[in-house]
Amino acid sequence: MAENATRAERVFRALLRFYPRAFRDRFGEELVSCFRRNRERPHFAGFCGQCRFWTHTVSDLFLTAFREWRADVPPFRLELDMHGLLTHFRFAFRSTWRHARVTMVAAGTLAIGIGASTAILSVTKSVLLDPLPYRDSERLSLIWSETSQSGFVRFPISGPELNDLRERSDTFEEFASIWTTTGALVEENEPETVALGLVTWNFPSLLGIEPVLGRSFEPAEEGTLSDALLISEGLWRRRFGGEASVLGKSVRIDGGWGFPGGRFTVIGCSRRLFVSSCRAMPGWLQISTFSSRSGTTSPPSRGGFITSER
Amino acid sequence: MPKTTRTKTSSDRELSNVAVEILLTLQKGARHGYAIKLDVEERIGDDFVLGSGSLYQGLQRLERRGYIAETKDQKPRDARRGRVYRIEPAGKRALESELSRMTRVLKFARRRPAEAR
Repeated sequence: MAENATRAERVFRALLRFYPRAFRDRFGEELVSCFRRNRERPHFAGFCGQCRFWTHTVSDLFLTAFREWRADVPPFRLELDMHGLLTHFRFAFRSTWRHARVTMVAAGTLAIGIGASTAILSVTKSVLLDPLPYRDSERLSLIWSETSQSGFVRFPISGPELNDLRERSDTFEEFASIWTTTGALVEENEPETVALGLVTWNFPSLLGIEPVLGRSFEPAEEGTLSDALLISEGLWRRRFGGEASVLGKSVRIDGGWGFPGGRFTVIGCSRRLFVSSCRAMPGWLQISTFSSRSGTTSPPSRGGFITSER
Repeated sequence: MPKTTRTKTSSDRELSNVAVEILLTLQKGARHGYAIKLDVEERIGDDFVLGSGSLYQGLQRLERRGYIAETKDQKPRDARRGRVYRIEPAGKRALESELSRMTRVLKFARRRPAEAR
């Protein structure tokens, strides 16, 4: 019983911590003394009596502790009626108006701070947190050839090297390559400079880029100077009016760097030909036109590789 | 800043119920906290239990207002019983004022029972 009493007293002493320190220091011992005597009263005998006792003690303690804390709050914070609130708003507005320069500096500082934080977070999210917008992007690797002797640590791999990798590598499931350049689409309307990717046949399918119209490249179209051309959905809608008759249409693209140009036949259009937010390939943004003229011949044969791990 | 005017509510009354009970007890003489508690409970009866927190909070507020004061010359027989309080003249006046308010309410209620209910 004595042990129980001690334990109960310890619980009560712990509960006293809900009171503000000043109140606890002044009345703590007397409260414990009251608690001890109350507990022994016949009124609270038995199990039901003890339940009643604890219910009463704890509820009284919490209620009075709340009142004590509230009494410590400065009066103006308790004036939550409308009049008090409006008065405070009015006072704040007048102070702001009176010290316009301070307000401008504060607002400017806040604006710069919020803007900078938002910008940093946006970049961090897109560069570090968001996955690349490709199928199984976590399995993709970018392969470069190292030609330090020529002064290039990272240099695009040649067509023969690609063939070697395809034949001998067990590490990766599939290899695909791309050579990016620009060309001039000179068909019908005004000439338009388009970003061009010369790719192996499996490049779109490896990234999970499905055609929304027509078809993608076929294995036979690789390395044979095929004229198959896959255009982006944006280009299709803007330049060809989004009509299905674009399939099979012959278009002329004048050459750019590493690309001789010529006439191509549109075989399809894809929804996503944009290599966006790609950290390792800054020069490959906005690829709006694809051709399968890449392969093992020079010069379009050179290119970076997008590969998928096995 | 202009002074806020507010409608008085029941919680703004000069003395709370607990404060009135404490003052009524101390009118009979100086007492320590637990004795006040027992006296109040006995007067109200009906198995009423005055919470210790409510009691000491009431004592603190009355003391801050100067309605009661700690008695230094009258030591309690048992040191564990704590401080002994006595009523001050201001406390007597506040108690009288509150009792007369209660009396007015009581008179009104008895005179016009139908409307009061």
